Amino acid sequence: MAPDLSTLSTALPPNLPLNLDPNSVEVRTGLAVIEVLTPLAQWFSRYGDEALFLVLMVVGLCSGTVIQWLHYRSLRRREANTHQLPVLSLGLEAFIAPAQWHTIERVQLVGTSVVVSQDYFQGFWAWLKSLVGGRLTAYEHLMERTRREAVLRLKAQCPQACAVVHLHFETLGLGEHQPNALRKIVVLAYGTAVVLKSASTQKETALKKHHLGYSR
Amino acid sequence: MMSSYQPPKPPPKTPLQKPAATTAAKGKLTVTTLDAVPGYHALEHYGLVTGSVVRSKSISTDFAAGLKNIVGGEIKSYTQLMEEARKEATERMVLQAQVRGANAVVAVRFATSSIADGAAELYAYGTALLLEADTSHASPAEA
Repeated sequence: MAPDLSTLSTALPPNLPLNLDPNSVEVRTGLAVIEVLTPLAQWFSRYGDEALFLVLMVVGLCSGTVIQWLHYRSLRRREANTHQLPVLSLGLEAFIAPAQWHTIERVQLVGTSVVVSQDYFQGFWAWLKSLVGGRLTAYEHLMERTRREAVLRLKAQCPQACAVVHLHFETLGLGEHQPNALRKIVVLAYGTAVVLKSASTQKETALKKHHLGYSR
Repeated sequence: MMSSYQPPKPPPKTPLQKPAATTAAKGKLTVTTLDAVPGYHALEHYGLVTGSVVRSKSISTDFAAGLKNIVGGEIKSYTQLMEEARKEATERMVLQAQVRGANAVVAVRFATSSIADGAAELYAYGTALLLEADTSHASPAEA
């Protein structure tokens, strides 16, 4: 192999001495590396976008499925552990009759917010589905488990309460105005925790035995 | 001739009595989404109190969010951001109520809006009240 260094030397400034031996180990190694990398670079410049897209789709699909499965499992377990703390969207009158209100020690505002992101596959699938319309099951699952997560964190905030009444949900989409933006969904859940006078201490100790905190 | 009229004596000065509720819940302001606090009745209405916070993302949080946008799942940095915003909005609302002399904020609602890319507004509003403990529900025998 006889490398042609004439073009290289003319490209350099004339006063810069170029003492490269075409048969030296360094030059040969460098040229061999260039020979391997050039087709790779050409392939990536031609198909790089498609390759990246495919890789991201596969990564998004796998991780999104695994995260959803783990999250649903965690939600089921924690909901079973905290089923004795009811969360209602009703007012206080529906849960405790006004005649029994003297048993209430205090009421307290509780609120949590959870921010989740769609995965790459979901984003593309949503775009595809938006062409034909119809249900977006992936997003439905995402919204459902985000709300359930928010409610569970509400419960964890007030373990001594006997109920959370007057629950409200507030939802906000971030970055939805740009076509390729990072889409995030903010779910804010808030309500009023009711703490009874007598049961407050024993309820707390009973609930603390269970796993209330968030973990995956 | 001078009349025998004597102006009525002013009532004897007594120290201003604070309502029972303000002393009972000293330094603690009840915040609730309910329309009324059980066991208390309103003495005075101080009107609407509000608290608004506009928070924006930072570069560091957005980098993590960018990675999360590929794999999906919860963005903890954003969750923390929204939690701080919610607490700050509530604090501002409570501060307004305290300045007016209220001891409770009832019918609290939160509203959110996405103002610009990456900037979110969290708005808390409620009604400030001065509450006093009910005597009718004080003992279960009476009720």
